[in-house]
Amino acid sequence: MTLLRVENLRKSFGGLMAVKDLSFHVEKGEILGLIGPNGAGKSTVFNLIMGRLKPDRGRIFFKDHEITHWPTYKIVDAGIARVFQIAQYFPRKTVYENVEISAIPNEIFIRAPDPTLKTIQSCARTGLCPAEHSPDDDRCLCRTELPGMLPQGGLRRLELARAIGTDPELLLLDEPFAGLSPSEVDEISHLIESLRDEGQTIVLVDHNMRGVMRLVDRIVVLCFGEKLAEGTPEEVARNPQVQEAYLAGGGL
Amino acid sequence: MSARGVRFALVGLTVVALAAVGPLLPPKWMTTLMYAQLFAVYAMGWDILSGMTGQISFGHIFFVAVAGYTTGLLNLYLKWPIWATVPTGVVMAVLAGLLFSVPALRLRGPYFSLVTLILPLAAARFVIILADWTGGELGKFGVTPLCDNSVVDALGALLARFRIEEGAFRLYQYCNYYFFWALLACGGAGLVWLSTSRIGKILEAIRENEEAVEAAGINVAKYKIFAFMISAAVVGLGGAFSVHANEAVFFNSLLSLTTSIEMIVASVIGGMGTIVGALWGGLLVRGGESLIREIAQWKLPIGAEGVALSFLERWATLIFFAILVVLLLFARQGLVPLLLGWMKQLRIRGG
Amino acid sequence: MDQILVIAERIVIYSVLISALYALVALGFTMIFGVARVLNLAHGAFLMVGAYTAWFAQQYLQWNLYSAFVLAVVVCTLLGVLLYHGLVRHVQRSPIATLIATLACALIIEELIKIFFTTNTQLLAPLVSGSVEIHKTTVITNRLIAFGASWLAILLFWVFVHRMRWGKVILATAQDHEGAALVGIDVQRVYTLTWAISGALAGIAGFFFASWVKLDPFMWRDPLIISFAIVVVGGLGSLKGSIIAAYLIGFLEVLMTYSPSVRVCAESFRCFEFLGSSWVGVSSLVVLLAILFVKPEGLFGRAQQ
Repeated sequence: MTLLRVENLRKSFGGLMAVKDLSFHVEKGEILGLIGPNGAGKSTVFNLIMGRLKPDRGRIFFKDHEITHWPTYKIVDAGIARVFQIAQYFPRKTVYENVEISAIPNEIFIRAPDPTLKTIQSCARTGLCPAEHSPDDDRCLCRTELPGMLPQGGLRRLELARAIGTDPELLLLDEPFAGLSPSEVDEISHLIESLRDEGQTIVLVDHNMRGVMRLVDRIVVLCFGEKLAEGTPEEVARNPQVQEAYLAGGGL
Repeated sequence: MSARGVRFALVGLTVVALAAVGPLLPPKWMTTLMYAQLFAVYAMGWDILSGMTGQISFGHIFFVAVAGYTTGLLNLYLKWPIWATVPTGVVMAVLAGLLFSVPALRLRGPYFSLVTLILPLAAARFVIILADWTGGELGKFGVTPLCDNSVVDALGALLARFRIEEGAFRLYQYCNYYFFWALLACGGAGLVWLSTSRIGKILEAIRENEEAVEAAGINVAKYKIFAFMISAAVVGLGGAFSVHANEAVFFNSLLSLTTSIEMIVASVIGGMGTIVGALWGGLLVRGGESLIREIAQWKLPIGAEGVALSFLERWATLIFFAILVVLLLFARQGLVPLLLGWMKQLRIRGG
Repeated sequence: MDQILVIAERIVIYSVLISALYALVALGFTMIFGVARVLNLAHGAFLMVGAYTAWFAQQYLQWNLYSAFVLAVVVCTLLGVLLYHGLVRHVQRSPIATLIATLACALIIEELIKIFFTTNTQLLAPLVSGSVEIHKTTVITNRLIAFGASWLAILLFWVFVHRMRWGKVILATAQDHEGAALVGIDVQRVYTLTWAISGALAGIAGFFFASWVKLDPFMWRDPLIISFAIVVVGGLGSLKGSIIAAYLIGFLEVLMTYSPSVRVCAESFRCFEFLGSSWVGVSSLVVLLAILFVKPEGLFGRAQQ
């Protein structure tokens, strides 16, 4: 079943056309890779989907609802969550408090359920809390640590915890492997795979095709805002245009 | 103890202290403390918006004025009783908050603050233009007092049961004092509860990173407007009651830009966003100013005739603005976070 | 009909005159905003210091007005540099802290003026007394001089920024801080110079503003609102924009205060005046509030990028 459908999306900034007549779709339960060199418009596509930017033209559908002009919070409530390329967190709140915010519902006047359970689940799921203390233990580091003290991998986990705290059906991951050490890349990679195994649909943005080849089910290749190719990793790798524009001599 | 528990405890202790100290003070100081309590309510109202969300309002006195003038004029011209004028005044303040928050919140931080600066200045201009109604810069007298004769008599009878004899004037003072004390206690408790609730967590998060809050599925604008309206209500409530306590609409009490900025001073001294900080800061600022003015009456026993300190009289307000500047430079967090930090240190070392 | 023409002529002439002064008043404010990206809420207070310095020199030191003028400018220049190095430089990383700090300084200056000069209104003696008849309109000579001086100051400023070396350096820094630093411009020195010039401009404006209105400890608020309104309408640090905005706001101001006022009364003979002299300062506020409601993104729209 098609979860997300993007039709003829167009966005320009001044004279620069960042996204040009882009159309693609995302199937439930798959990991889609949105690959392209830097400046290809990948982050812009995420911004458009999440309502941070309004497209000049085109439509976006999520589960058959048109979400093109929805405000961000409404899109998140509908079931799409996004992990930012540069982590967006609350610097003066602890890691636990950071994750807690996504567990709080968007209602002022109703009696809301205690966010503690949800927060603990999100923290545990993304491995934010070391094994020796569970997150509901006051001695757990994520209760006292500030995000600034986390390594890059930890920040990525924090972002993921905040994202899955909103119970998304679709996760948008913006360059999740940027700035990570090889062991951290492995860990995050496994985490993403396990999320998919639980039924999460994921769209992954990256500029390093080699890194994500074995992780994704399908790839959409972007170049200068346009779709260059689409298909399974093997099909895309064999595509001559892709090879020319992108891989230029480097094999797969 | 949780953060909420700590803050309730601190508010509780302060409230108990104020209740006990009040009647022990000479009349002049009791009145001062009464007004200090009112100002602390203003400061807390400011804090729940600006301290928590980081949207710094420079013109919060505007909501005091909207509520105050509404209350006063309804009482003076239409002869409405207190229980009608005050709620109407508060509703007007809240509506004003709603009216201005919606466009203003589309502005980024510093620009929002600048726009809030215009509000009291514009209101002042129109109060002067409409001087025939509002009394202009002089104000208008004749508002129904907060504590009328029947209340004072009842209070006298109550105290007589405990064999305490007090004159009418003193009873009147007690009544007013405890009225604002009750406002402070309820306001303090309510705002501490709100600021440590899940709504408070969202407001603080908005201060730190609006983008991330939006990405967590929260409608940031809705919460900002909510904070604005609560803040306007609290501040407006204080203003409305103050008009009845003063039995007049005073321009200087209801539209002073200095008071507006003193709210910021109070909150910064105590620690922005803690509510308790604003409470203490408010008491400190007004109490401190009065203390300085009192000291100005003294003479230092130095030399033959002593050194007169009368110059201090006019420096009282300035000193607190200077304290604000110093704090901004060197210690922006304020007293309460400092205190909470020490307490946390003690807990970690002990536990 | 004749009456209307007389009033219309008066409005046109007065607005031409006062707008030049408004442009001068706003010039220092837009300069700091354009170059250092700081909204100096103490700007109006600088003007006030200039005005009171001149008055003090004239009244107590018995100086002639020209010397008093020079003293005012010097004091304000020093004040600008002092405020920058003593305070703004240390808080300017946080725009909110800068706003609060500069506003606190303005209030401190207001309190100091109250302490040393009381809240009584004072008058600055005019450079030249008397009035002049321009066609059918009476113009106070001093205001004509203020008009001339304002344009002179604006022109000199333009020449400085576009033709002289340090002026061009300031302009370059305004456009690109990092770029300026990369080509070896000492940004600290540029800021110091900018604050000094802004102070000087405020001193000049304060002197002439004082001869237009009376002096009192609250006189800093109107110039601040005027400056703010002009920056909002005229755009970020644009000289041409500031001048046009000044003329717009000046015209609106004169229209409101010199149009024949209408008394509106309720039956219990409580009245208020619609337009007229009690509407001084309303125009800037109306402009600002109107923009707030109609197009809040237009408030510093370009600046928010």
